[in-house]
Amino acid sequence: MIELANINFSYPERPVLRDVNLRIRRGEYLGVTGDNGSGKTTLVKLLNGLLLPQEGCVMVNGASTSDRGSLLAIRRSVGIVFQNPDAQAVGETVEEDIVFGLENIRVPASEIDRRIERYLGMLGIKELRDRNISLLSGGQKQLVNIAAVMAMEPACIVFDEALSMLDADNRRNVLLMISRLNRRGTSVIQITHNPADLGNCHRVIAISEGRISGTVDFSSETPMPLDSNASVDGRAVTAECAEYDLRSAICKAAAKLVSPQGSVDGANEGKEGKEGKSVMVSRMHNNAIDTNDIGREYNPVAFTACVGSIRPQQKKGKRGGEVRDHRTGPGSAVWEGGGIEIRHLSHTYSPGTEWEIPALIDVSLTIGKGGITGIVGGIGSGKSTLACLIAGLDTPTSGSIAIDGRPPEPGRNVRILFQHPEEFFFEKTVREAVAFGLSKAGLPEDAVEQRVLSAIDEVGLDRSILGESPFQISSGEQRLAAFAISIAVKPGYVIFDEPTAGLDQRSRRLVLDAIRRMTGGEGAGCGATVIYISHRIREVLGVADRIAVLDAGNLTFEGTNAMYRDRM
Amino acid sequence: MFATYRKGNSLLHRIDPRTKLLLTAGTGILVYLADPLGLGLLSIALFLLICVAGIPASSLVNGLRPMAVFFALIFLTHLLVQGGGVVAAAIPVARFVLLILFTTVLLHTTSQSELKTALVSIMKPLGGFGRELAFMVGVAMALIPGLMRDKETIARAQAARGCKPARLRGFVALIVPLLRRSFRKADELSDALESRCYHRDREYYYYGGALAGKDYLLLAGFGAVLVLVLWASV
Repeated sequence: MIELANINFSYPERPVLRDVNLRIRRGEYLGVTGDNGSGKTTLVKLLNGLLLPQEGCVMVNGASTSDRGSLLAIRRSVGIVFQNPDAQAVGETVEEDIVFGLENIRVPASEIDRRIERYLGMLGIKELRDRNISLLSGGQKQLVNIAAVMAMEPACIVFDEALSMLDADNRRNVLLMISRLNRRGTSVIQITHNPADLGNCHRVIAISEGRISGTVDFSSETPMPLDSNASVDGRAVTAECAEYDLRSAICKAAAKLVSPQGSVDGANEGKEGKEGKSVMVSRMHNNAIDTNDIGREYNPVAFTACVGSIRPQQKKGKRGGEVRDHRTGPGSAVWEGGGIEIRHLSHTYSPGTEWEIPALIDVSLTIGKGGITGIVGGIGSGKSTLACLIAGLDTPTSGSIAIDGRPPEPGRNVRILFQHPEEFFFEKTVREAVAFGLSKAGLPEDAVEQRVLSAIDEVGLDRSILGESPFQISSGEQRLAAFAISIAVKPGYVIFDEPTAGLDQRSRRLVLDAIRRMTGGEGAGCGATVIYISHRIREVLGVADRIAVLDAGNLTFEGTNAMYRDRM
Repeated sequence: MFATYRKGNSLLHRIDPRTKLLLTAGTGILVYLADPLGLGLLSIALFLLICVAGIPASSLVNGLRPMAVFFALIFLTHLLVQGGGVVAAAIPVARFVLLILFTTVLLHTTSQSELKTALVSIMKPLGGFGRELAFMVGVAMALIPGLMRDKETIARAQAARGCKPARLRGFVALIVPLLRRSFRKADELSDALESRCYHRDREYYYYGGALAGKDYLLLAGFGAVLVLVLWASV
């Protein structure tokens, strides 16, 4: 239904797509993968005429996107869900936002009602219908965006990295819904640098430097029905195994397309074999579309069932040689060696109004000095709230936080890097950006230079980058430069909020390596204590020494990495 | 100003937002035309409305507080420049206070989305221009909370780096990322709108059916009062 012929597209400063020929059949599920900056998003915008190719043409159902008259019909048949959840909603409430698209294509009012119910129900967010969009979490907003596009019932839906904001549960559900739509005849184009999202594809293409660099075609294989529920009965499990083998083969092939030389994720390379069997079992009890890494990700329901007996107030006593006692009141001395002491922390947003949201409920947690502590949880679990409170950027509704016995002082005893820290650059060169905090601290010039250089080395960037504008370097380099800024001041405690969000596999690995180095005794990081906040449990397990799990504002697990793996 | 709406089920909450919007606009004219006696009557009406809607005093004070300096300025200008005594100088201030409080009643009992759809529906007779205006107002209203939050996030991120917002450097650190983010967002939003088939001739039909009989009754009654006052003041 979509045909791209000899497409060339370039921005004034650089070519983006070169000689792209691609044909998307009706009902096909196409995966598109490639690194940051490879041209994926440009390709997406060509599909419905948001951009027009300088050479070649894009035909949708026989109409060219360069023909203005047929643009509306084209956009009606090709719906796109974009990556940024904050920049897609027009409505004030969820309902209004869905109505917007449906009014545009003149769906009758009674049908609008039906579709709102249906698609919100499909994505499990019926209760959000009358909620104000601006007060939803990023993941919830993205579910609304997905519902709004699905509700328009286009013949083809394009997901441009649209699932990266979702936690494992929601991602699994959305993938299932997508494959259902696909089996009812909707074409799907899934753009992602996470090969695990591509398990249902008929065909996967890789884009590299603006060209289609590889294709894997699975359309001749017949996959088993997807949403038959797993059962212990022999036949069903066998079917699921066959199903799983195919899905996992697709994911592996897709991963190879992107990085032919090695495994997808270095962090988990060694653990693959050991975990293999149990992962397989848990997969069979999950939905069939579980693939490589989804099955291992955080599942709050299963997890709470698993460790249901562990509650914050019961976690007294010895663990790893450290005696903790949560009965001690605020202000009392922390145990030897310092660390972050969080006691009976609760936080509520907009108290006393109709938007009142309890974000954290009586959380008590001790984060010892040194090493990496992962704080994981699903959408709206309170991770980011906890991060802001530890960083001293918010005052908790009740409870206390002490860092080495003192209250948190942002920029002094604790630092936080928000998601997409590169967005906060304002300096002309990377050197200025890294030096900014140091000069402010009153360090002499040569010491500043010394620290800048060691911070850049520490994060693994080339020194030549110092003279460049922070806005001109690649997104992976930007992220590492932002890390260099924060470790240059040798902070005792650093909080990373989703540090790998939006990065491709390669940059992700570099970022994780840099974080690991930060906790080492030497170098610029100088033994910093790292708090790593993420909804990607797999990634956190790869780096963290200790894990804390939040679920709907409650701390449901706290312990070492090994303990967490045991529980699972 | 936008955060004043409280969910409720008072008589005022239940009136059609279009009626409320028109009545508030009409009341604005009355407030402008009224003599001291009229202002007194309007104040009584306002008091009753506030009671019916159950608006807490704090909301009313919050609505007026930002304007305090402005009120003082008007009062002093009238007192010192135009003369005529304290009462004469108090009247223009009273007009403004009433205007703001009547608007507070509207905002307290009508949600933003209700207001927006009311605006769209009232603008309908203006054709394409009215539709686009209403759409722009709607998008702007939807963007404001995001913009405020972006500002907040950036201020926090820079504070975490040790930037002080009071300094010039701190201001640059705030404004550069904020502008970059806003421009990028505007681009992305327009892509999303176009992808969802936005076009100039779109119709608004899902919200707002016909006005009910009681709305017409209210509007007619109010219209009669307005005409009487207008006639009396000519």
